[in-house]
Amino acid sequence: MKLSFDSARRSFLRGGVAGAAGLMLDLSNLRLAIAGGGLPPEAKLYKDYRDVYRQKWAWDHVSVGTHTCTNCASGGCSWDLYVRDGIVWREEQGAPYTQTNATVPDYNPRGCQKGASASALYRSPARIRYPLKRVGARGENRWKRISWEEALDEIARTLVDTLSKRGGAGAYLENGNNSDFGPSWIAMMRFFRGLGIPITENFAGSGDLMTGATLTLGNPVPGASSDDWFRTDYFVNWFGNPVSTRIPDAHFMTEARYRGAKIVSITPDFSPSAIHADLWIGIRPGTDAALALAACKVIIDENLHDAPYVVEQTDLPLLIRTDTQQFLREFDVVPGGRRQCFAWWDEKKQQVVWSASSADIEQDKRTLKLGPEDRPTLEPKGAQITLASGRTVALRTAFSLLREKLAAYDLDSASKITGVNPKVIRRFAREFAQAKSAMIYAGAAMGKILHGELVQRATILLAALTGNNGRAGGGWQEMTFWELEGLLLSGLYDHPSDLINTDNPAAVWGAFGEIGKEQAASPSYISGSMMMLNNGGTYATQLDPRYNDPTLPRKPEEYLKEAIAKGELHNVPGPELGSPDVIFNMFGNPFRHNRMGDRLANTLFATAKLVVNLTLRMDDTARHSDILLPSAAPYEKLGFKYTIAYPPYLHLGDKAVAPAGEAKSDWEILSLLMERVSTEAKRRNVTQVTTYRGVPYDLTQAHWRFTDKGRLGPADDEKLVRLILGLSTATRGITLEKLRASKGVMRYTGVSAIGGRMWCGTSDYKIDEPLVPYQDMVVKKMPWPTSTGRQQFYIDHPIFVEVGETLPVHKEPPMAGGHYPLQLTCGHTRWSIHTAWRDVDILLRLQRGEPVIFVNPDDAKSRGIGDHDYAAVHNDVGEFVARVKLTPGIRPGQVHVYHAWLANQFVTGKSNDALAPSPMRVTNFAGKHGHVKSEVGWIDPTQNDRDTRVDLRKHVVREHP
Amino acid sequence: MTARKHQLAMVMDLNKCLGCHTCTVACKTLWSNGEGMDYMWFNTVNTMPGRGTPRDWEAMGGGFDARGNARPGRLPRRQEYGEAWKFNHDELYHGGNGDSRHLEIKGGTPEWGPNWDEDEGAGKFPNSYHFYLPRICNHCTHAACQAACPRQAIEKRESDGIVTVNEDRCRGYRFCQSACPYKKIYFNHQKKVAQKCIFCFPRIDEGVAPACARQCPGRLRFVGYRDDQNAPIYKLVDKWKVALPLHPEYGTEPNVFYVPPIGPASYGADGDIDESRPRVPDEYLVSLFGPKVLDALATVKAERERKRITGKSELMDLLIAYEWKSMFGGLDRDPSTVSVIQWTKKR
Repeated sequence: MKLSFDSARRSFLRGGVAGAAGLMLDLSNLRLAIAGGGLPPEAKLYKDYRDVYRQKWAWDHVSVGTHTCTNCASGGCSWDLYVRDGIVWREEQGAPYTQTNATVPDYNPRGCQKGASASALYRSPARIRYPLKRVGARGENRWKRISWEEALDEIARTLVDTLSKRGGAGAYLENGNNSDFGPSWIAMMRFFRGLGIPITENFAGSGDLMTGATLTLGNPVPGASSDDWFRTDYFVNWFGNPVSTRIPDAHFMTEARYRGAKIVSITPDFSPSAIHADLWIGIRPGTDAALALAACKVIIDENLHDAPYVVEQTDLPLLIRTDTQQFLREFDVVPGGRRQCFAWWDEKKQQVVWSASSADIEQDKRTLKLGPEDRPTLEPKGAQITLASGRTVALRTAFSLLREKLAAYDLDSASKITGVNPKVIRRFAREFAQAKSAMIYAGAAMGKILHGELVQRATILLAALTGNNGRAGGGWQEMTFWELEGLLLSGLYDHPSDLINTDNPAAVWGAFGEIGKEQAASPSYISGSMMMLNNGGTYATQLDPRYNDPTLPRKPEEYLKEAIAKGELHNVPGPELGSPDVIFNMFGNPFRHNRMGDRLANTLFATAKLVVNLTLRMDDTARHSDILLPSAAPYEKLGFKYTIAYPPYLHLGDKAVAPAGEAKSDWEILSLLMERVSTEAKRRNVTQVTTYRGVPYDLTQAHWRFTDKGRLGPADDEKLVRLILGLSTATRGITLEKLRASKGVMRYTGVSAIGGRMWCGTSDYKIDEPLVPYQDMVVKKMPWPTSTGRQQFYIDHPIFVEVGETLPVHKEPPMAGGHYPLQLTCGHTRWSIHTAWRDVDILLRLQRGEPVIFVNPDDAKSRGIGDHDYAAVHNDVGEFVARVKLTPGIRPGQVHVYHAWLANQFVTGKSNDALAPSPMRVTNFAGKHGHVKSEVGWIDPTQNDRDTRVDLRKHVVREHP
Repeated sequence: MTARKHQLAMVMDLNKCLGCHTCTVACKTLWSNGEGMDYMWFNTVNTMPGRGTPRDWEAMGGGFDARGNARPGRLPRRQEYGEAWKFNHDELYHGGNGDSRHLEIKGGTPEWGPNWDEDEGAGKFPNSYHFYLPRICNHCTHAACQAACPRQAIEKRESDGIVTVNEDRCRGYRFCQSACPYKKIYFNHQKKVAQKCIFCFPRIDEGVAPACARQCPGRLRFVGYRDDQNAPIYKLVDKWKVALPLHPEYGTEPNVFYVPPIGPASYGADGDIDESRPRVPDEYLVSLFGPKVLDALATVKAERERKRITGKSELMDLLIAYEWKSMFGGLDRDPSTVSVIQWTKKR
């Protein structure tokens, strides 16, 4: 009874114009009539009330794809879309996942209430259905509908103006994290890369980048598949709230508990995840490093650490010069010696031995494996060496320095810092060390405090001392990704179609070589957080010493200036990008995802001649744009869900229905725009222009490059999907047809080599085992991707030496926003994926319908505030107003606001982001120091907000007349 | 009442509930989206302790006393359920109002909603406690709604004991609402009929588990026939006795059962762990599930320890549900394989 595409489309368009609500009546009769099939005789008569319900559960066809919730970090979920009359009526999980093996639960059914109400979002009043042009002032919300031709022509003309005058530096793309790993991302890369227009990268801008993990593990995104959670004996949720934020994966935690695992949750408030724990440790916010280090001290003092593992896998046996606090390097001793070459003290030989794990050792000789004669010692006595200069210096191991540092975290001191009883700390330490496997689930909020980097380093230390990193059911986990070479090649290489039918690996490596050269000359990405800092109006606030670490020897700004002067920061988006003529926005909502993002209205957006927004819906940023281009919703186009490895399955988002209104896929939009840009350039005879970094290119040829010599047309989303599948190791043997025949979901078949030591490429992939990272290191003894080739806890970049952070330490949370008595914490909510779904009626009705802050009853009472009263939350930086929800599980002194309400959901139009000063961490300015190098997605200044200090006062809202 | 062939039942494991409301949304989008149904939620999830949906329903009476006599009950008011709020979206996006408008509930500030006291709970920091309690119609064996209906408009299916309102017979007297002690019957003010959870009977008839169960990502809802001794329901309710009805003292013999929650350790006055006192007070759980709840908790804890040490426990393996499909007592058909017009042929 499947409808023809045309009739479905016609009736859909009618319905779309009238609003989907008009079709909420029973349509099954209409369906049959349209399809020309007539009614089966027995269906004509209404028999009784039960038929009404039976008809509610009816559909024309099921689209066995998924929609891809592109902004969700849980990974993909398989959804079946029940379509009636060209409209997705409801969604239900496809649940096609087979058990990895009999010892772990399967992944079914994966999906959450957002997925189950995706259609409510895609058909919401905020959905953009037609190209719109601003007719009032920016932000006034006055629009007129224009045609695609008008929209694209105007953008193309302005863009060619700008490119011909200022090159790519006259424009930039605000890019969020809501892309697919498919045609939409490829469209973005090919378009903006092709025009030499910089793209902001916001892994750090959103605060998700774990620089402490980069420093320590050489991987900002370490992690396993979530069925590995089930295998742990000790699950520690640290900083996270997986019950709300990993809804499809959380059952592996509750089921591990039934397997006998102990579940620990460490968060300031008694959170939705804490209720399913055996032990909840309600820690004073921001003191987590002290707790971790106290646990490390207990473990070392009681000799519970795994010494052979520590000696082999970590830098703790490596030697530090006592005179400089620098690692001993070969070039200190041997003239012309290697820089990234580190040493231990050999107990047997009583001398320095250079570690074969070091980054500068010849590639074929690099290993963590110790020789039969090697006896590295953790605490040598009297180690010293004569330098090339002839001077003799005393040497100490990182381990002995660590032991000394840990003295500050005895149980009583740590208890005073953290507010956790000393016996609880000791019990936690012993249990963690003695568990067969212990896992730290590091919540993304761990990256969203100023000293999150230290918390990450300290908690990874706990996992390493106990030998857990690399153990099944163990180790420090955040989230990892499956690398798809086909995606990179299709986005970053001009001619991916040339590679698809070649079995010649050299061609592929050659392509990567070209990508590397091009990216070195004019990188596609700029740091989103640095763009905001330098050009978004937040410089003075983010670098305000009063909101930063008071123990810093110098002002934060001095570290930044010095890093820029020394060239340590990579590709800084400076003032040359501060006055763009044209701003594009895709995949994000920078007014929201930047702390103080509202300041964009008065800075970058204020001077721009044209702000173009490819968007699904009207959000904070769209409201401040000039031309809105309606982007197809995930299930209205083809795409892959980004490849987070919690579920080790590739998820195809299929085109279940035609796009709403006149929406188009991102690939089609940018294809059409690029065509006009090149045409306009030819018409005006604008040929040579430059990228934003001054590399010349021919604008009239940009369309030719974009289309891969004409081989990728505006309707060729499917070709791109095939390119990705055909060129990626992880999808070998997977075709679009096979995917469609298996509900759009197939288990990855391999792991890419180019993911290298990052992402999930650190283990041989076994299709019938949960993914466990770091088998290459702990089993095959291949070095870690750090300077020392080991899990590296000692960082000797001069900034780290200066600020006292060579080893992980605890630093007090800053007074971000001023000296106020309460701490504003934030976390992702179960009710939205960032701002998406935040304003969807069906979900708002299951909350209180408007933004709330969670406050301990005593804190509210002392301020005369009752439940559901409005409170003004204020500090030096700003103020927002929200309803108060009295919650005894909130720690006294803490105010909690869940993430990502849209600014216009607050009565005063200001969100909690407006008062988060997001102080800059000076160690994020370090670079050019082995693996401590500045690069987006690696080490990049991270925005943060969970240290914000505030107070509350009762607020009375004036009702509208 | 004649003996039925079988009785369908559900077990919900509160140690796995995430409070995510996927069940609520799955149910809402499937069943209660028609005229007059906006404010209805056949499936609710509430934070307990809490006032619930409708507000303070536990104090509204209904059901039967220990001698089997009907207890008086009262009608919930609309405000006690909460309305289906409408919002001023249009004012925001296209009205030319700039920042002078924000997204508001039309018609003023509500006083309650179906999940109003989410994540609040009871107790005092650091010993506050709460858990999530999902509820559907209990499809009671001794259904008070059915007994109260003067029209015989409430039917209990012979084949599986699903309780439905015959909306053709219903005249909207609302006695069922007062009589139901769980307050799980809604009144459609447009159509003037009572409406409630139908245990997804159209799906059941095709061998598909109810939407709330099949769509539950926390994997906490077991479905099946009470008397199927090989299926999880029988084992959890009758063999291991770890799943108990909510408020058994209401006397209606519910067919929805709960595995009681085990909270984290509580803290003593000195800040150390207090092993002697559970975080979720026993007396509170007894007030919900009756005195047998203590045995159920002890059984779950003992079997968890057995599983930890030996790797073996039938009960833990059931609750883990290694194979998701095993939770549905054979009602595990993939709904996308159901032919849409099948029901018309089958009638």
